[in-house]
Amino acid sequence: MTAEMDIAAELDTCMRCGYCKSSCPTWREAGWESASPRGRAFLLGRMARASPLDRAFGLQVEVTDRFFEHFHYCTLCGMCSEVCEVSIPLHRIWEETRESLSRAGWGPLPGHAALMQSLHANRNPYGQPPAKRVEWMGDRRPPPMAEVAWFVGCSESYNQFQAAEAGMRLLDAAKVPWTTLGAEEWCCGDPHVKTGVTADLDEHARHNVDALEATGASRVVSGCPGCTLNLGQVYPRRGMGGDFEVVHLVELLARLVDEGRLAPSKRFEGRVIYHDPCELGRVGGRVYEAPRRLLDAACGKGEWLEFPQSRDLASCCGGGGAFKAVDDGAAVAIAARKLEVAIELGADTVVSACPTCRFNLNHGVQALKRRRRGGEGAGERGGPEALTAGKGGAGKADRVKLRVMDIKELLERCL
Amino acid sequence: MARKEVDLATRLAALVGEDRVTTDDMERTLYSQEIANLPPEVVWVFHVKPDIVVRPATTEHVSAVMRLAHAEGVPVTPRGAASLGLGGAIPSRGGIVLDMATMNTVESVDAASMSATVQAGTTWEDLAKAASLKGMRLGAYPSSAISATIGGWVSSGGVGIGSYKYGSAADQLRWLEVVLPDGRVLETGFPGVAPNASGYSLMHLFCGAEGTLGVVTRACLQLQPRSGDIVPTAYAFDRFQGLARAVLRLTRVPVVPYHIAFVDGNHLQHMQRLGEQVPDAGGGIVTVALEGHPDAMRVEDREVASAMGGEGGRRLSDGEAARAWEDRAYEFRVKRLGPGLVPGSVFVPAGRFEAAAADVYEAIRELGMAAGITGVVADRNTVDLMPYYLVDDRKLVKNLAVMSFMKRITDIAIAHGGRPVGVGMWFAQNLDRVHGQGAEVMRAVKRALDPKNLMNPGKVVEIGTGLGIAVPGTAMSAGLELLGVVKRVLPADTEPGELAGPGGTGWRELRSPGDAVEWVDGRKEGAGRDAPPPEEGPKPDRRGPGERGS
Repeated sequence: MTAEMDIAAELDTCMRCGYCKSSCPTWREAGWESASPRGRAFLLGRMARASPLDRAFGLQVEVTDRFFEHFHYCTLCGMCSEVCEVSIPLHRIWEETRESLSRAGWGPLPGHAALMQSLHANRNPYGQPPAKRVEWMGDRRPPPMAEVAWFVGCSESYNQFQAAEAGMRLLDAAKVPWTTLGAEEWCCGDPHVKTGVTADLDEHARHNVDALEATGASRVVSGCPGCTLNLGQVYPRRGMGGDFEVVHLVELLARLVDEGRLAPSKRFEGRVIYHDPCELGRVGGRVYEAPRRLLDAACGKGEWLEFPQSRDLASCCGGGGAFKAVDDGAAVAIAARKLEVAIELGADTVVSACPTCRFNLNHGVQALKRRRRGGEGAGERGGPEALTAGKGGAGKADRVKLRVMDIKELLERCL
Repeated sequence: MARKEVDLATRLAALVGEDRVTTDDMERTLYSQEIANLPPEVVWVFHVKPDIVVRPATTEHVSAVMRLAHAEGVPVTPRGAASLGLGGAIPSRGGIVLDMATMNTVESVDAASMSATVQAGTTWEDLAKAASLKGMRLGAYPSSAISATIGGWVSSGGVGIGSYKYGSAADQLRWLEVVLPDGRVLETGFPGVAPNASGYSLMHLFCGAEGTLGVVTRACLQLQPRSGDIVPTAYAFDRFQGLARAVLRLTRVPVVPYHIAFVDGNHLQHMQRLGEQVPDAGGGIVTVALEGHPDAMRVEDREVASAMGGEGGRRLSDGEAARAWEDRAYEFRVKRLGPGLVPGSVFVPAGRFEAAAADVYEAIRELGMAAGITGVVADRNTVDLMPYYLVDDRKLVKNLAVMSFMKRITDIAIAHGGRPVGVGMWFAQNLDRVHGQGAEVMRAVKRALDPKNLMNPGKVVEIGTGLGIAVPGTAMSAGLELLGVVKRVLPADTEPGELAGPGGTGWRELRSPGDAVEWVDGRKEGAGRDAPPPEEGPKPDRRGPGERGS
C-alpha cells in the first residue's frame, strides 16, 4: 500500500457485510454502529462522495464530536482489515484519518493530550524524566557501539521493565554484542501515529535514526512490536528509514536458539498460552513462527496452548491504538474477555511479546479477580464470558490463577 | 428533531438506560443503511432514516420498548447485522430501529442436551466458537456467519453452509422467544425436544417473517457432535452444463454430504482479475464438504467422486479444495471489481437447474452485464442459485437498473417452478405471485398480531413508502420492467473480450472445437475420462415451460 492510497475508491468497494463490525473488539464495548469499522467506513465514504442530493435530503455527513471520538474508539488492532470481505486496508485508513482530523484541528482527546504533553517535554509518554529511562539497567552501561542496537522502548524502560531485564540476561547469555541508546533514546513515535498528532513525529524519527546509526549497528532489535513497526515501517514510509535492519527481539532470540547459542536448560512449569500481539502479527510483519519456536524451547515442543483464534485472526488484548487513554475500562474489559477463554482452556500463564499487551492483560487479570470476588454477573455481557458464567459456581470462580509474562521472561526462567 | 421524538427518546431512555438510546443525526444516518449500496435517492420514496435508535440488552428492554411504541403508534424495525440486503432491516416509515446486535450473550452451551441458548444478536460464528469449546458444532449456519445474527438468519429463513445435511435456519431451532408487537413475550417450541406435532407451529411463523410479526429475542438451537474435521473436496468442470448435471446426479445418490456449493467460470475469471490463483475450470467448480464419522465420509467421498466424474468433473487437489472451502464466507470478494455488486438469490428445482441457469446467462447477455453465478444446494431438490452483478453503483441510473436484473431472475425462477429467496422491502411485490392465496392468509396473520401495523411495516406483506401509501405490487413491478428497458439502452458493463456473459461459462462455446484443454495432470479433454463431455456445442433451446413472453 502506497502513501497515495485512494481512500474514497477503497471505501467504494465496501459492501457493509459487517464482518469488521462483529469482529471489532471496541465495537463490542461501545455497541453503536458509528463505533464500528463498518460505520466509520460508511461515514468517511459518504464524506468523500457527498453529492448535492445528499445535502438536499439531509444525508450529508459532517465531522462532529461523536464522529471524532468514535474514530478513536478503536485499538487499531487491524482485525477489520483482516476479515474484510473486499480487502479494504481499513487499519491504514483509520491511522490516516486520525492524522487528517488532527490537522483539521480536532482533538486531542483529554487522555491523549496528557500523553502528548509528556512526549513533548520528556520524549516519553509516561511523564518521567529522560534520565530514569536507564534505571532498570542498574549499573550496567553498554558500550557506545555494537553490532546489535537494542531499542528498548518507553514501555519496557519505564513500565514493564521486568521484560527488559529478562531481555538483557538473554542477550548476555547468548553473548550478543549489544548496546542501547540509553537515556538518549526517544519515544519511537507510536503515540504520535496513534493519536494522529504527528507534528513531532519526524523529529523523533530523525533523532532516533541518527542515534541508532551512530552505534554502527547493522541490526536494530526491539522487544516492543510498536517500536519495531515504527522503526521498520513507519519511518521508511515517511522517507526517514535508517541504514539498518529492524527486527523484533523474538526473531533474534529464535535464531539464537536455532543456532544453539541460547539453550534453555529446563522446562517451564505451567500451562502456557500464547497471545499474538496485533502489531507483531497482522499489523506488523506477521511474525508468528519465531515466538512459537521460543515457546517450544521453553515449554517443550507443542507443550503449550493456542487460543482458538490465533496468528492472523488473534483477538486484540485491548491495549493498543492509544485506546487505554480513551477508555481504560473498555480496554481492560477486552483483555478480560480474552483471558476468560484462556482460563476455559486450562491455561495458568498468558505469554505475549509486547509490553503493551503485558500491561493491559495484567489489568485484565486484576479485573477478573475483582469481578469474581464481586460475584458472578459483574460482567455485563459477552461471548466467552458467558461460557464460564453460571458454571462451576463460586468455588471455581474464586480461583483466578492466571499470570501474564513477556516471552523473554518465560525464556529467561528456563536458562 | 421534532418535539414528539425528543419526548419519546426521553421515555425510552428511562426504560432501557440513557446510553442505549440515541437521536444523534450521524447515528440515524448509519441505521438507514444495510448491506449493499442504496442509492441515496431512495429517500425520495422511503423514509429509511429512523427517528430513534435503541440498543436493548434484554428481553425486558425489548418488551418495554414495544409496549411504548404500541401505545404511541410508532413503527419499530428490528435489526441484526443488516446483511441480507432486501431492505428488511431499515425503516420504511421512520420510527424506532431496535439494534439487536449487542444483545449477544451466549447464555448456555449444554453438552447433555446438545443445545445452546443465546440472545438473538449473537453471531453464528460466536455460537460456533462457544459450541466448539464444548466439543460440538453447528449443523447449518449462514455463509455470512462472521456477522450474521441468530435472530437475523432465523427471521430471514435462510439456507447456508451445511443446509444440505442439516436444513435451513428454522431446522436448527428448538425454541424461540419472541416479543410481540404489543410487548407480550411469547415462548414457542421446546428446549429439550423436537417442536413438531403439537398444534400450530408458532415458532415457524417467525422464521422468514423478517421481523414483521415480532422481535426474536432469544433462541435455543440444537448442536451436533464434532467428530473430527470437515473434509472439503472440489471438482472442476469445463462446461457449466456438466457442473449442473453433476449436481443433479449428486442429489440422487444415497449419501448426504455436509455441504454442496458451486461457482461458475465467470466467477473464477473475476477471482483471477483480483489476482487470485484459480484452477483451470471454464465451467466452474463444485465444492462438496463431508462431515461425520470417518467411515461414513469414505463412502460419501466415493459416491461424490462418481457423481462428479460421471459428468466430466475433474477432482482438484486437497489444497485447492481447502481454499475453496475457506472462501465460503468470502464469495463477494469480487466486489472490488465493481465497485458495486448486486447479489440475487432464487430457488430452482434441481432438475431445472441447468435450464434455469441457461436463462440467467441469457439475461446476463441481453443486459450486457458483468455477472457470475454462485450457489449452494439446499436440499435434494432445491438449488439456491445466486447470480450476482458487478456494477459501478456510483452511477444512479445503472444502480437503479440493477433492480431489473433482480426481476428477471425472479421471473426465471418462477418459470422453472422455483421462487425468489427473501422478500424484505424491495421484493414485497413478489408475495402474491409466489404464495397466491397464501399471501392473503399472511396478511390476516399480520393484522391479527399487529393490528396497528407498526412491526417492521412496509415489508413482506405490504409495500410501504414514506408517504404512508401502500403501493400495489403491479405498479412496483411495472417500474422494474421499465428500468430493464433503461438498462438495455445503456452501454454494457462488460469489458470487451473479458467477460462475455454466457460465453465465459461454456454455455456458448468458450473455446473453438478442437481447441483441447490442457489438464493440470497433462491429460487432454475427453481423453481417458470415465465419460465424455456431455455437450459438443450449445444446446438449441434450454428454456423450460412458461418461458418469458418478451
